[in-house]
Amino acid sequence: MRLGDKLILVSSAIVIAVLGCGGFLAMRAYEDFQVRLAKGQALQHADVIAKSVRYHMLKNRRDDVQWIIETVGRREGLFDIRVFNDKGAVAYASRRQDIGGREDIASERCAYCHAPGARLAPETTTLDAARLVTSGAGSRQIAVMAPIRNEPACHGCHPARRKVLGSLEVIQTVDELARQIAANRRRSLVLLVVLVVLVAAAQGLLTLHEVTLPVGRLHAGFDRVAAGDLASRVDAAGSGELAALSRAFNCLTGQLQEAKARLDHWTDELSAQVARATGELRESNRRLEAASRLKSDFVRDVSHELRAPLGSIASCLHAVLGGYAADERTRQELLERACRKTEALTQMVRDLLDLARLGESGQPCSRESVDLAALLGRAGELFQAKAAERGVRLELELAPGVPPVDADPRDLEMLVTNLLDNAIKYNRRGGRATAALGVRDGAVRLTVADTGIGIAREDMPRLFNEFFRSEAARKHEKEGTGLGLSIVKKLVDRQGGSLSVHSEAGVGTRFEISFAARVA
Amino acid sequence: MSESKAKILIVDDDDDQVAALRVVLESRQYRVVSASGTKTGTEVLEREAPDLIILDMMMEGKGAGFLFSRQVRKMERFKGIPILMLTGMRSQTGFSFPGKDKDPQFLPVDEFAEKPLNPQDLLRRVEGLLAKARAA
Ligand code: HEC
Ligand code: HEC
Ligand SMILES: Nc1ncnc2c1ncn2[C@@H]1O[C@H](COP(=O)(O)OP(=O)(O)O)[C@@H](O)[C@H]1O
Ligand SMILES: [Mg+2]
Repeated sequence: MRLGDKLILVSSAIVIAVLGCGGFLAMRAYEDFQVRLAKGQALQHADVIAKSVRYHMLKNRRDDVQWIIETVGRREGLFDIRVFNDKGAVAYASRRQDIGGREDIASERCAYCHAPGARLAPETTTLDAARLVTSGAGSRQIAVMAPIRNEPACHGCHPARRKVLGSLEVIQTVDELARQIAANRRRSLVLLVVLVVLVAAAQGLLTLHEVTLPVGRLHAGFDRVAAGDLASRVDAAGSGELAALSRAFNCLTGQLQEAKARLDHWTDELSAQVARATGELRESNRRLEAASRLKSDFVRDVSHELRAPLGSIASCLHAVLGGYAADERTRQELLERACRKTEALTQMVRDLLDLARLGESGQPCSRESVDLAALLGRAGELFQAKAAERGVRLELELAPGVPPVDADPRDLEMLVTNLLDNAIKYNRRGGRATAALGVRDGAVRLTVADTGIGIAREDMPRLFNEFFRSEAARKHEKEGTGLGLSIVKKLVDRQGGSLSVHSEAGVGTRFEISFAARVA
Repeated sequence: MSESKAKILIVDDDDDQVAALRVVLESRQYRVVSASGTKTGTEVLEREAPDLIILDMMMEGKGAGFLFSRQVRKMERFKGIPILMLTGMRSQTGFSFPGKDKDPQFLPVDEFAEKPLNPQDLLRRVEGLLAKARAA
């Protein structure tokens, strides 16, 4: 059973009980009042009659007494007025047929005052002496009986020792009153029932409206919240405790909603972060794997690249030392081969060391203001001899006013050296190698171009791989480690520059490198 | 003197290695022709019709000799030509190849020689292979 229903039931029961009892008591009080009113009337009659007949009793005028009684009885609509003598016989009566009748002192009428241990002292003449009785015919009557006292004025004919000379009884029919009362009772009862029902209904409605419905709404609200609908609000109009409770509920859900929103936000943020971190982790893992694969590839390659020349050096030397050479010239040639190979090997080791140095993370890289024009000038001088030897014209095109760049001068030197070396090496007799310096889009741009053998399109993707040397390059030039461009790539990355290659097989090649100009 | 007239093809992209081999082999009167790659190798092979091939395993650093040997075996004329393969493999990886007898499909060469060359060892192997070929 729900709280609201219980409340309705209990409060209705209380209302019915209170209204019922109250109504009953009120009805009883009203009836009592009516009876007392009737009794008072009867007493008044009795009093008037007693007074009226006193004079005629003094004179012992019996007809007059009878006449008065009859007249009063008729006029006042009384059922009966009786006067008993001291023997209990009816001496006068407004209903003549009653005259001569008797009433034993032990009868119920008289025992009221005369019975031993009677409730009322015989002196009583108050309202209480009036009793509500039911006649033999079943009608309701109020009977007032009062003693007629002997007084000094009466002593003339009645001995003074007698205290009471007779009794006066006034009987008033109250059937009408009783009927009225009964009708009243019914009407009151109906009224009461209707009232109770109405009040109970009103009270129930009130409870329903004030308690059950709000409680139901609250309950539903809590259910919705429990089901996760934090946007749920309840009607909080009004000023009662339930309205306050509803407002508190709304406030609570509001805060919950806000907290939930914040939590959701955090959760989203967190999962995004986790996803990002996971992604980064996966990416770095992938890179690490790639790096380690590259590394083991590299180690294998290095191993081969070092071993192969060592093997041929050893072969040459074995041939010479074993005395297999047919003549001095052959011996000389083999030794020269071994010597050249040794130099190439030395170059390879040098390049490998450079590469290793560049590959080390955290390797400090000094930053200085470097005048690339001056650097290019020095490098150009160094390569003039080699260029001349190969019949290549080496030219420098240095635009004026090129700002310095922020870089490691040794790195830049290595970079320029490698590019110039290739431009001269992979060139033809009568060809041209050009190193140009200029500014474009606010960046310092170094261009090394040649009119040499060029690079085949299919070789482009591997160009910067360690040990990569194209077929054409091998054919064209015996000497080479295939490490130069990988060093160049690392240097450019390290200096924060950008690198691009344009080449056409058989026509020429152009390397372009851009550096941000030094910010003053 | 037929022995001294045997013609040997060296296929190796390292001309220093070729030069050393040539000196050693010519000291025993072998006639030596050479090629620096597999493509020229095939040309020279058909042109010169040598009696034996000395083949570098890791030409261009990629085991091109491996493929070349299979290619040779597919040529009707050279199905039986003895091939001596030069390899730095064993000392590099500890891995030794099965010979022709064991798995001719996989690596159809007759013998292996480790680089760097021991001239005496090389000559002994070459002579052995040629004798075996003559006997067949
Ligand atoms: C309302 C009360 C009351 C009723 C009812 C009542 N009497 Fe009395 N009666 C008295 C009183 C009071 C006395 C006086 C007694 C006294 O003063 O000692 C009295 C005295 C008497 C006496 C006189 C006794 C004596 O020794 O002097 C008689 C006889 C008597 N009543 C008869 C009756 C009879 C018969 C009835 C019924 C028809 C009756 N009474 C009903 C109150 C009542
Ligand atoms: C002149 C004389 C006389 C006087 C005075 C008198 N009475 Fe009487 N009374 C009588 C007589 C005679 C009777 C009838 C006696 C009987 O019939 O036995 C009587 C009877 C009664 C009776 C009985 C009812 C009946 O009629 O039989 C009452 C009651 C009574 N009197 C009251 C009084 C009172 C009260 C007084 C004083 C105010 C009084 N009387 C004064 C003569 C008198
Ligand atoms: N200027 C160039 N012209 C043509 N090919 C080039 C040029 N520079 C580099 N290459 C190609 O890139 C390869 C790698 O160059 P590099 O790393 O410097 O090695 P190396 O100079 O030892 O051959 C060269 O072998 C050649 O095939
Ligand atoms: Mg180079």
